[in-house]
Amino acid sequence: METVAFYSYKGGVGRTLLVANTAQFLALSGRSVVALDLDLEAPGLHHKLGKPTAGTTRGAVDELLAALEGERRDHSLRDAAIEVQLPSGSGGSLFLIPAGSAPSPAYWAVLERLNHVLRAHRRNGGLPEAVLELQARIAEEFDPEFLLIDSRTGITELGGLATSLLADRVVCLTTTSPESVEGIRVVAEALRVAPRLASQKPLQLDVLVTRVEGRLTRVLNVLDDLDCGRVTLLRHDSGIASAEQVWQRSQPPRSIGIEDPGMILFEDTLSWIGMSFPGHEHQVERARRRMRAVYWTWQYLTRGPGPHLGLFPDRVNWSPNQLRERFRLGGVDNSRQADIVADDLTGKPIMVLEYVDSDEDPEAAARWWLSETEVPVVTVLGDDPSPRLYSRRGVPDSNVRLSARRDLPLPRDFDALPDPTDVSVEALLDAARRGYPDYIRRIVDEWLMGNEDADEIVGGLARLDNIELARQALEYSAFGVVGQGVNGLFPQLFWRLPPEASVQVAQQLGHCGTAVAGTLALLAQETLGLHYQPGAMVAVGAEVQDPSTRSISFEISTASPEIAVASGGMLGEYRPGTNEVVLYSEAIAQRAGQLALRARHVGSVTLIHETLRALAHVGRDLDGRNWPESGLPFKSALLFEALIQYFTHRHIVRLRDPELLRTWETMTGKQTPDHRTWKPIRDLSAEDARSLFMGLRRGAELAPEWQAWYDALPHGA
Amino acid sequence: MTDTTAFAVTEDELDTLVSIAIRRAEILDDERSPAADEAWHEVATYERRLAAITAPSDIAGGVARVGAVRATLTAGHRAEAERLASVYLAEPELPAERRAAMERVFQEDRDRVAQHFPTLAKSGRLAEVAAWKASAAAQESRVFPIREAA
Repeated sequence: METVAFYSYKGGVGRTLLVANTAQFLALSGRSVVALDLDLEAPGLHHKLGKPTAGTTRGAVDELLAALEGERRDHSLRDAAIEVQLPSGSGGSLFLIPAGSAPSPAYWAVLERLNHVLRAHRRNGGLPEAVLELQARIAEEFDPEFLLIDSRTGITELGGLATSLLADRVVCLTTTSPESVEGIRVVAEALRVAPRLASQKPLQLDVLVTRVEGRLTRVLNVLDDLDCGRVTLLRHDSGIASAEQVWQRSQPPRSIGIEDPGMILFEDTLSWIGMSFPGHEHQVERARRRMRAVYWTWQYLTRGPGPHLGLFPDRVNWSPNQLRERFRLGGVDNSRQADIVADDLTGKPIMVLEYVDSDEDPEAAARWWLSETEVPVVTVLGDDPSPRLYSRRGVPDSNVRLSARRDLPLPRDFDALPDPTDVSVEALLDAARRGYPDYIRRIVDEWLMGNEDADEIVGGLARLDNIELARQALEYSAFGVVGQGVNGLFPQLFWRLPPEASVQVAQQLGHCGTAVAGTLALLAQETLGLHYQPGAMVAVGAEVQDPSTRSISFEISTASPEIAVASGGMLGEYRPGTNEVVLYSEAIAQRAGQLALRARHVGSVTLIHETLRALAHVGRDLDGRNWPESGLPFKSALLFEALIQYFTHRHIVRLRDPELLRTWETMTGKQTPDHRTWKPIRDLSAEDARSLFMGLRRGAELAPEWQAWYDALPHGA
Repeated sequence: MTDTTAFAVTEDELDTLVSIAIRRAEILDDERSPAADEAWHEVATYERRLAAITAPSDIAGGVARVGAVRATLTAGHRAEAERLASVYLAEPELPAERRAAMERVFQEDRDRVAQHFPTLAKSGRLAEVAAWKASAAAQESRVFPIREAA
């Protein structure tokens, strides 16, 4: 048994935390460990090792007192020990011998009695014999490979005995504060010359400088003078300093990245433990992987993926109060330890997370949890950054269902979703419709994260009828629209969602440099071959012309259109004088009723159609020219209309919205003869149609093959 | 007060004092009083002075020497008891039965300690610990306090 005492001259250096983490790491890597709290005046090791609720009310103080008073020994030291639960397959063991039942009044009474006995009844032996007896009993009853002692700070008899009499190795911790360094220097010098038991080897001394910030030259010089072997630096992290947990932190969200000081401290601590207590490399690496996975997961649950990604800015993370580490669930004879358990607000476990190494079967672990407990969601962590989620919902007893969800459920998911592992667009839309509108954002985020079911996401969102939800979908998807291209989410939803929502968002966002402008630019470019850049400077040759391309605005009018069209009224119009696209909602509703179509689809077709008319007017060609006139200079408005209908059809086909396409076909099938003129060019190639459009736009003569078609148009209609 | 001044106290007076002191220390022991160790220290003081004015070969002198060592041990001062014993045992006139009694005193002390720390005793390290305590108590550069040195 190697006894390692952790000592600091001053408190607040992270000593107890390091004892706990070292003990856990060693146990996880297959070693047998006993952690002993000899900080009797300020015990706290039990807090760092998971606040065990079951176990002993006895502790070190009781055992020391019993020995000194000659109490008849009718109990095992195991009665005073608490077994710290380890995950299955760890191979090691970890027992905690706490200081006692602190902070109960009984504990302080026992401590006072111990001090009294030590003062007044020396004949029975003193503290040296008592602590050595305790150490000998630990060796005899537990036979651990390591005894780790959390020693008292400052200059005390017990601190001196723990370090100079019990220990084979002393880990001295200090911050960079002058008083802490000076204290460690004095103690280290004393320990180097302290007498040892005849059977003991010379004392080994390690120094750790913790909470390192800024320049350290002076500190390092002092420590060099000590000549005390390896000095390790652990940098400062405010989160850990305030929460006093390495694996658990409750700081406000910050970005998690390579430069995250908490992560650096975590890795440095693991490195120090690994180097200081070398073991079987495979098992050490395994312990490191597990602790790293649990650390990252805890960060993710409590802090999110990090605002640097720009995702989930409004997400509500798990409260650290709802999470427990190393918690065992299951029956008395058949239990298993979760690395993290998430509780609902009543304290009932609703999700367990367990790390399963690469050589184990994650599905078997999930099957155990789902069959032996009532926890609805099981998450298996591994080396893969994406956790595997399993749900009991709708699963036969002997099977488990692996979810496609790649992130971890949040507390709200358990309220809003029947199955928190199901983040299919249908499930999320259902939640949004049932009063959780924020799930629209979740759907959009799924698309932005590159969900494989992108088409399903677009299709699902496009089916939204609720104007407010549709508006939110557009607003959220406006994020990152640059670079989305014609198949981007916003450019598709803008034309497919109810036009009331699209127009509202267009009015709200404006046009210069927004997703709306980008969407119109895409339509102009891809369909008409024109540039639409409101506000941009346009260079023609060496000159800059017309620095402000006219921007298109949108409006929905409930007023009746002034011009009636025989087929049932004018559904919308483009007003060249003001560059407005106006949709007439009543006319649209009426027309939809006549054709047994849905008004939203008729409105979308109208919106596309009138916007193309507008873009044909204000868009610039490759020479930077547009039409400055308020009117449209085609020889025939019918020819213009035919081409715009062609482009409208083409765009609807590209959107791959069956409802929209059916609406278009129905609407055009009922057109008056004057408006059917586009049908002969329906199957024209895009290049030919664009060439025809550009030629006419520039006033060029029609090619002979088109002239015949043009001549056949009902010009007088 | 030094041993020199002790000559001003007669043997009879010291006999009386030590009898009373022993009775008082035993009562305090029964009561598990925090003053018991100090009471035994007082007994040791009178016994030492008796030893100082009596010959080792006298019955009173032998008893006083053994009593001084026993009381010092009972007061918890092992290092001092061992020092005293080495002084008395160096006196050639100390009868064999007194020497044996003194050894028994130490053995009883060891047994008592071993009863309190059976696991340590089983490993045979109690003597090692005693040596360590003496060494630590004597160390001038000591930083951490130990009660044995008080």
